[in-house]
Amino acid sequence: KSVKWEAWYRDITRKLRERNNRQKQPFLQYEHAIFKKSWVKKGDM
Amino acid sequence: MIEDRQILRDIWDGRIPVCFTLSQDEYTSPDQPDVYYLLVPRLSYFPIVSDKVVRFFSQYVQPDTQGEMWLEFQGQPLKWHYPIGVLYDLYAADQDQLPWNVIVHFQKFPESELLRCGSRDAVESHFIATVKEADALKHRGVVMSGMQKRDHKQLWSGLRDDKFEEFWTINRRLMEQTVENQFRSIPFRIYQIEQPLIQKLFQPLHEDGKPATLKELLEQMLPSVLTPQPNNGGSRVLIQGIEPPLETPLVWLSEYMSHPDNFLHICITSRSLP
Repeated sequence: KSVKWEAWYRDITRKLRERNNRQKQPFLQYEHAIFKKSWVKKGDM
Repeated sequence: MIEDRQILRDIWDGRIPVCFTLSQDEYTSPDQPDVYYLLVPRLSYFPIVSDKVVRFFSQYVQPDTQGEMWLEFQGQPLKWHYPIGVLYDLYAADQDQLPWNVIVHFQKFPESELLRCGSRDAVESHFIATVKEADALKHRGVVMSGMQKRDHKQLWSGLRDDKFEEFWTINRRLMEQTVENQFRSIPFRIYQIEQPLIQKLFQPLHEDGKPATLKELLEQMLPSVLTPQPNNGGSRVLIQGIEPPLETPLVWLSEYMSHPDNFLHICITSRSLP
């Protein structure tokens, strides 16, 4: 059975979204501490 | 087996807005320096992200008095070798005030409370040593010792440069489990304010093969957390800035909600009364 059907899983995904909405989204205009470089090394997960 | 990229991505993308302010007894200019705002990754470490902060505030302090930068929040010196998200969750999350107001110091380094950092190399050494320690707990260290030096470098550069793919291409090997090769122990650390951190051996599965939960870990390591206290609102158990349900399997938390150092960092704070 996939964990995606578990109540705890749904609770965690919801809370992570809420965390990012509260702590990150309103502050995206701030200077970012790490600038992405143009060179990106891709790999398989 | 790591399959759920969205969770990993949501955790990787966690950020904290920080307002850096130079300590008021450390600047020599007649006017108070501006503050410096920065959006920092939760998973990173302050020495990796604070070059700009050092450069910005250096113009306000006399060069001969400028020592190693250290940070403070409400009188609490912040340990550079703890992930930024852990520091925030432990000391500031309860106040829920953003941006996080952090004081910058260049003088009076608190030698008795903080380790000196010196350079980014020290952060890299600390990071790789911690990943090795976690791998020793999970797989007797065979995964890290089986990697090449360039793989260790890629773990570090992935974190340093905020490159999710670069990091996880290597880190997935540290998170892999098979039926024959389960995690032997869960690498975890429990933090409380003004208490030594708790790190002990804890097996992820019971003898009957049933997965141990976060609640069972806390019952064994810190039972008081699960008992409401009459004089306060009880405790909050924060991992990656959220309160996971206590019935969550620990091995899942370890795979998905560990920091890049492969440890599950658990912060215990007081719940404010309404």
